[in-house]
Amino acid sequence: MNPLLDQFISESRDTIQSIGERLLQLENAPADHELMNELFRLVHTLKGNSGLFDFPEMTRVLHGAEDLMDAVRDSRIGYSQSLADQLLEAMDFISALLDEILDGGDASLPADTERTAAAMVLTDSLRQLITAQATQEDTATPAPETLLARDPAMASCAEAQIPEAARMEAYRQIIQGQACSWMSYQPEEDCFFKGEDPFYQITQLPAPLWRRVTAREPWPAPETLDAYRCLLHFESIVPMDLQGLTGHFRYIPDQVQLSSLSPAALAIPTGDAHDSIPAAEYLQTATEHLQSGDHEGLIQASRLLLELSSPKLRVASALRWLLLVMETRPDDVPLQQQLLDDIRHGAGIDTDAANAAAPSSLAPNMRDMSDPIAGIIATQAEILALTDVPPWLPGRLRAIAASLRAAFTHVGQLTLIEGLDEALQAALERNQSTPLARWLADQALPSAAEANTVLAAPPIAATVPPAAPSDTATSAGETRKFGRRMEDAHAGPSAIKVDQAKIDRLMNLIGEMIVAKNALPYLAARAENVFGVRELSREIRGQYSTLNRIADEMQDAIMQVRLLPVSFVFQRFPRLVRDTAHKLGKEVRLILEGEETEADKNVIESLADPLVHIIRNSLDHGLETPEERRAAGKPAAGRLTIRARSESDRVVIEIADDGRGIDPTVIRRKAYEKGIIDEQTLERLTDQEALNLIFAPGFSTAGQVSDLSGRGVGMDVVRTAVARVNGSIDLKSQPGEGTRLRLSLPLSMAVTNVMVIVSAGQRFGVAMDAVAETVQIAQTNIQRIKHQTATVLRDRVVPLVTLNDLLGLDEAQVPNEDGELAVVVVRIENDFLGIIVDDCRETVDIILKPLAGFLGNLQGYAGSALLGDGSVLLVLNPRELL
Amino acid sequence: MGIEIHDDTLRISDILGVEDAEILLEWLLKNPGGAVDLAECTHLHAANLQVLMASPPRITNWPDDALLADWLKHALNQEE
Amino acid sequence: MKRILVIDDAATVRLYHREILEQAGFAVTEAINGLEALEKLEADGPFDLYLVDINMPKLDGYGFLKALREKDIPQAPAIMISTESSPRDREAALVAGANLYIIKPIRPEQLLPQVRGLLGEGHPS
Repeated sequence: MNPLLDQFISESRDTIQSIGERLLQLENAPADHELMNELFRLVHTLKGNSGLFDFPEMTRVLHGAEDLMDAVRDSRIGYSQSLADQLLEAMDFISALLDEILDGGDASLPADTERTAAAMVLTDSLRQLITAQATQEDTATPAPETLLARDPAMASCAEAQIPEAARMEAYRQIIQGQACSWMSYQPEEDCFFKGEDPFYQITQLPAPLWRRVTAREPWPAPETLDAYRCLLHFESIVPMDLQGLTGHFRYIPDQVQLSSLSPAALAIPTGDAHDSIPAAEYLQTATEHLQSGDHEGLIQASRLLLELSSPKLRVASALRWLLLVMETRPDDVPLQQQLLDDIRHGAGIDTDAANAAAPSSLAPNMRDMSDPIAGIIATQAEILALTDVPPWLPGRLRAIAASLRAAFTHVGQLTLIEGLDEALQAALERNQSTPLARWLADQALPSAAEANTVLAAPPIAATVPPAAPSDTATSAGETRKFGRRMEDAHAGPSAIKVDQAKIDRLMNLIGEMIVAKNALPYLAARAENVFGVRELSREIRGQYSTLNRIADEMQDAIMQVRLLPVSFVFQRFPRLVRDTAHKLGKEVRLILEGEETEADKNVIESLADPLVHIIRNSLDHGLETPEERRAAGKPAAGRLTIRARSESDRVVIEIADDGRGIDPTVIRRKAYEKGIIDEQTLERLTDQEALNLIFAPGFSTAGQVSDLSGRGVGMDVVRTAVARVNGSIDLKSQPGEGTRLRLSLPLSMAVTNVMVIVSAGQRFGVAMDAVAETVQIAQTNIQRIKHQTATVLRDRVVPLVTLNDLLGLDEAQVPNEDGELAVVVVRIENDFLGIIVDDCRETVDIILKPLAGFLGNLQGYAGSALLGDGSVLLVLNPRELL
Repeated sequence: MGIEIHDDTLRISDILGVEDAEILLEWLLKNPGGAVDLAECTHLHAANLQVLMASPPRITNWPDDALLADWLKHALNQEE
Repeated sequence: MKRILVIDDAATVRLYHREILEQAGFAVTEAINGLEALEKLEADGPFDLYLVDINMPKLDGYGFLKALREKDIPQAPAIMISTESSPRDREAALVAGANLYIIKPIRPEQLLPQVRGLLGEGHPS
């Protein structure tokens, strides 16, 4: 798969995850503006990314989602449950699409009418949320966004049908240096009650060049008129700069729409279509004149056509504008070209044909960016026309100069750059754009004409990049720079994403290295014992200790890479809890703590399923319905706390709820009914022991298997899963007050430290985690109580078993020369057990592999490992042995 | 100050405040053919403006203040 | 080799631009928001061209451009890349210090001529 698509999928997954999280956070803090902003940004990013590919359904849905979040962010609509549901549903759809794309491994998806239909339905419902809520809250006010979305300067002028005469007047004013702005002011309906007088605001402005007052809806009959519901809408062209006008309306910025007017924005031809006008010939002549800079010729040709045209026609309007522009801004070629283009389009002349006839259509045109250089130059002119004086004006001016220099250099017009530096200097000294603007205006005409000769001759060359970069021939000095810069360029982001398989491979390799390293002590022993070279033996041991240290550090480093925060698993809980609680009709407040606690990836991953099961259990059986809770004098919303922390080399996770708790009496009865315990046990069990019965295979507390946590698996599955990664689980519960489960897992499970023991001439391993201590016990200190043997260790009775018995070997354990027996004391849950073996040996680090194949069913073994001498060590699982 | 009634003409002077809008509206409803004299009006609150727009009376005199007159004429579609 | 700083919070977009620009023979440095861009500028700058996204956390495109233009360093052209086509957004970008405003989605054949033009190279001789 291509890397871009790869990146897209992985980033989208992360983003969708974050969107889910933010939505749930928003549920608790529906007014958090920061969160809304972030949500918007996340959706926006997702949409932007999808636009790089051809996934129309995805882009469509995300567009709807973005608009919705935009409305939320702008407080046009409020956050609601249904909104969150709808967005989550949209994200599920996107996730499914991502899966499909991943499966296809291709940057395109086969068309699928069902998918298209689903996307449309989703998009519709997202959009309905916007309109439904917006209209519900404010029936009369159109959403401000629809006002903003309209092109305020250009579109409004045309749409508002400002008479041409008024626009020409504004145009003249601007040419004479009087800034003019467009204003549209729609006061809030209840503004009178806030003490506002919109009309006063309006009459305080200088006399407008054009003005209009309308009602935002038709006036009701006078009898039903509410004089105090403001329906007024003011529009005008004001002879003021944008800054001044913005200042005037600074207290009600959201009720006005302001923009500064430029000659190009005003010079918009209006009128009836003109298909009968013989414009083609005129256009050719006019274009030639424009190219050659023949003002008089252009003016005459235009006047002639104007006389032939009815004044109401659009072509006449365009010609009037053209003549006005010729008169007032003879050098404004882009605007003149724009007007000629308008005549061309209006006359229905095929643009391509016109282009062929008139190559000058490549001249700078502000609207047509197909010519990049013209676009760059026109944009710089536009920036220079800005009248603001921000603190960064000098930097802006220098950047404009740099852009112009580059653009002129690009088209080979090096002579034109002369004077640019002086103009820039003058502009910087006066801290205003004018000198640069004047310089550019002086260059504009010749540059357009001359650039045309460059650009027009090979029209393709203007848009197609040259085959070879011009800097292929670099000097030695530049090559050095190049080297340094390449390094800089690659000093990219400080975090990288690595495929899991690669880390797993590293892990396997370090495992093999540890095993190989462990071969060295054997070799040393052989050197000494078999070959009798003590010196060499010592050297090997020396090398071993060095290698050992490096391997340890390396292992540690790889472990660090494999560490994941528990949030990796926790992050899915908010939604799980929310959805499950919804289904059950319960209210739950989820509290997550210690999400940053880290543990090995395998441990974290092995946690996911047991935790999900425990949470479902809690929600289903533990927490009561709101009614039950109120009846019990508890808050209606139950509390579920999931807390992680590290304790030395283990990570501890607690899942606590404040629900109904577990009644040991019920457990006892159930266990008895199910035949898990006999009558005697029933009476003997303590409450805590009774509670632990829920981990027994085949035990399920629910009266009937429910849709959620049932499915025939009980807590025994959880316990097995936890035990598989050398974890333990315990449970505390107080009827009526709640239940707390506590999982304790090793931080890492990749390398296990085991003690090698010997029994019946065979070596076995026991995980050091389980070993409490090893002792030598004199046979006389072993007591026999009925069938059970035991000994007393530090005032504590420890039951004893022999390993040979456990393994079904018909051999007695061998004592040492002093008649003592070696005992490994293991801890199982909270009990101690002594296992009598023949001998205790060294401890080694091993990579534990689970028993595979037909050995997989063998009870009592945790797995096997390869030792340094090439032999296989079976590692015992004391719990299963019993 | 405010509103004076002369037969079928309402003469407005100085400033017409927000609370005058109801009075203006009532008078216009009762006198469908009534006229309004704005010559001495220096400003009227926007609420009055929309009453005039919703129920346009005959204007005998426009305000002396040219800017105000200009806006009112355009609002009432009575520009020369 | 001309050096371009690509500033966008979306990794996919950064990679997209990097691929286009590197293939065309430019060196690309990335920043994930305006703040990191300023740090990169401090460490490796100034660059020959800036490609700036608008909507980013911590410091957005406008903020970055203003800060860039306030710096006393050789000023290079900047292209602002936006999803908004309204003149208001365009003007805000130009005010802040952009030299070109282009609207997503960006196609290589659209971007490269603009980049070459603003870098003053690749003149067809």
